[in-house]
Amino acid sequence: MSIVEVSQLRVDYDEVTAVNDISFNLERGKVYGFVGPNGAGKTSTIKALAGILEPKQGTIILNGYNLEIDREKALTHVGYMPDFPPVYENLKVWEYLDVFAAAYGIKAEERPNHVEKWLEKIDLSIKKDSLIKGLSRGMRQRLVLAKILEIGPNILLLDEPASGLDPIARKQMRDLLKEASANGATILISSHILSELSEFVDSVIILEKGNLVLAGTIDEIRKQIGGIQKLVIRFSKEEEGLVVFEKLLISEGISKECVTREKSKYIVHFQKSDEEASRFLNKLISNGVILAECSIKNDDIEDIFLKVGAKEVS
Amino acid sequence: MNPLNLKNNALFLSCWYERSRPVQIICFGILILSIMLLTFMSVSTHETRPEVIWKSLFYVIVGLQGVVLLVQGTLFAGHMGSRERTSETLDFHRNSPEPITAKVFGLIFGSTWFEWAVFFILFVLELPFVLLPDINITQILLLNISLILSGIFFHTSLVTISLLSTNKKRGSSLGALLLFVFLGGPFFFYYLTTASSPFFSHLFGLTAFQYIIVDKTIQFSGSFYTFEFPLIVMQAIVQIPLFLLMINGMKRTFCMPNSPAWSKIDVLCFCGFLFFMITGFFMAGYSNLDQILANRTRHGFYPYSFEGFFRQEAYLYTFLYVGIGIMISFFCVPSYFKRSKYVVLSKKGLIKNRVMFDDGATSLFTIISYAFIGGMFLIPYIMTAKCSTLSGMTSFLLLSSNVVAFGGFLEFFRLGRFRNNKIFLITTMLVWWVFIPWMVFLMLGYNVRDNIFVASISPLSGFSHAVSLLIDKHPANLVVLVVPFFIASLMWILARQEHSSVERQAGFGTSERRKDS
Repeated sequence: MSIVEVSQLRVDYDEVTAVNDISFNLERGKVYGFVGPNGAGKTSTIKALAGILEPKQGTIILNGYNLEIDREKALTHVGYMPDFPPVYENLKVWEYLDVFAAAYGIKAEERPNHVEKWLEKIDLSIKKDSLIKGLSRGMRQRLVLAKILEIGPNILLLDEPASGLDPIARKQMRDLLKEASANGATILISSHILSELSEFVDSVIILEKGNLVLAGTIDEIRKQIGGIQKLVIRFSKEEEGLVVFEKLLISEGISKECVTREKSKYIVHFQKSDEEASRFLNKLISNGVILAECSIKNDDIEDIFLKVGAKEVS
Repeated sequence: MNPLNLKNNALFLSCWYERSRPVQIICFGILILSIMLLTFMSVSTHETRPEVIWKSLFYVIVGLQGVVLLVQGTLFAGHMGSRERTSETLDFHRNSPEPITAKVFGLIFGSTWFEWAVFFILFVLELPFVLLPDINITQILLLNISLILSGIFFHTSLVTISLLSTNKKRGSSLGALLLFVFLGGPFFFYYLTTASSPFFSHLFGLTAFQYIIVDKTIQFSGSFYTFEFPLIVMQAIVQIPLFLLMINGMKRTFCMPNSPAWSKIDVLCFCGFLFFMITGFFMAGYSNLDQILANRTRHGFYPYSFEGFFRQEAYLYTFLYVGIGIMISFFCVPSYFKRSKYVVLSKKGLIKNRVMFDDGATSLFTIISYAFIGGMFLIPYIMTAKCSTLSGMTSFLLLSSNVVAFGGFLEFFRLGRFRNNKIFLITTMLVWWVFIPWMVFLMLGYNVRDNIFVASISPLSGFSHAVSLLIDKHPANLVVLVVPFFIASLMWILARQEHSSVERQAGFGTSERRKDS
């Protein structure tokens, strides 16, 4: 069952249409990557879902409630995190978490323990009584992450959450998000760091110039756009191997444009089917070629995005 | 969620934590106590009568109450409002499931809880002074109720304005500015024609002084239409509807972030309320109007001599000024909601009509309402004036030209390309156009009335002169008539240029898109 239903969403800023009639559904407990270049409409969509931007038209249903009609019920378990963490500079760290725990209905007597627990989770217990204005950007980002996770969200809307975080903090954030997802939260996460998304998203939504270009699991999208597999090989004896390799390319009808070279590695791009790459590899080995290294890779989000983006532009 | 449950009100808590630092509280406590102690010591050095010494202390406490609640409280309300906007934490509160009422309540009373606490402590300190001969409990209670009404109104207004003033969404901030221009217009006109109005005394809570001034040299009026209300009731009648307007603006800022803070219906209600109030105070003055005018030789820039209350030709002027109302609604008011770059583009078919400003869409009903309100604003003055038909027509033309000029001015800025500093430019241009010619005259000591043909560049003098013509004291002057029309033409040429520019840009955008596709 869909926990987020978006239909014909349109967001305008004066004469500019940021999001143009997009529709999609998000399933409970899944992680969705929101991908697109700058100005694609990712932030506007996320803000509209978070109820902080009025759509020009369209319907948004969160947790089964229409955001426009039952705003308070729809937003009960929705966490939103923008790229730049909004904080009260003159509040202490624990006070900040306490304020937003109150906003989401956690009772006053439960809040001290609740806040302690989350401060420990984000490693900020030591800074509990420090003013927020003394925190680094990474710490603020973690604090805001704790702010949205402490409410036990069903839906998490994250707009570039990893910007400003160091690698350790990124890993910590990924772990927290995985935990939230395991607890049944649906996560919509936009990021420019596509490799980061690849690791833990179930599905991807690709936006381009305010339009939804593609949506689905990575496998589905790969099939939809003519999935690419890459065969990466390094010959043990390059001269001998290369002769067989070139003959095989001709006999299999693979053009030279499908082959690229990175230092001593040769990469063959296959576009017809998933088995094509393994069949070619078997033939290569059965023809006596000794390989020092070989691997078959599916497209990651970055490859898909680049391909789809290129198509859109052309 | 109960908005009065302060322990669970997020916005209240955020303000509470920020303002409950012990150092701040202790320092402020010491300051208040020092002022009271110094007053006591200072008065007791040259005064031996204990009742005079205690009375002085009472006045200091009352003064502190006023300063803490109305000045410091209002400043902090504004500060906390802009804190939400500048730190962008407002978005988190928009995203939270707390009821809007709890958010509004939390921000207004959270930002000023400290001032309210001090206010009530000082109130308790005032109570023992009822033992003094000239002070009674009713006086203290009325004074405090009056201050509470003003405090709530001032704080709410400042929170709302600060939420809008630092708004990063251009539409809302410009809309708010234009709204205030419109809201300011009737006040401004009213000030010019009926200075020292009881309306402002009640609006700004000045009536609170009535309860502590012993010699009663300052009198405030509770007369309204044919009724005589207690001052505190009159203050409530003036402040509460405007307080509700501000609350509505705040609510919309929370849940409709990219719409104007006030819907067109809000603005209509506000105009209707102003008309109702102004007419009420004006009518109340009829019974002793002659007496008031006898003591006031100058009214605005011009001497008024109201010679008759009702004239047979009143219907003619009613008709003319309803015409002005229609002009205002056509040229000025729709500009706020309708005329914009967006409309130009949508007419070119590049953008579909948007739902967002639906509550601000211009309708026949709205135009008729504004026309009615616009016309009715002037009727009381017309009905008391005695002038020739020529003067009436001249006055009408002068007022019309100023309205058309203002419409052009709005159109120019609504379509303007210079976005980032638009607010700055609109303010600068208004100052130059409206105030500078007038201020130059005042500074040089020239009589505006004798040089009205130059002063009429400013609508401030132009409006005033137009109204003064109604009393048949000044012959119509061709230059005075031509100048506002010249200004109006200039404004509309500028607006037209911007219009063409937007259309050109739209055309360019279309061809670019075609190339891309």
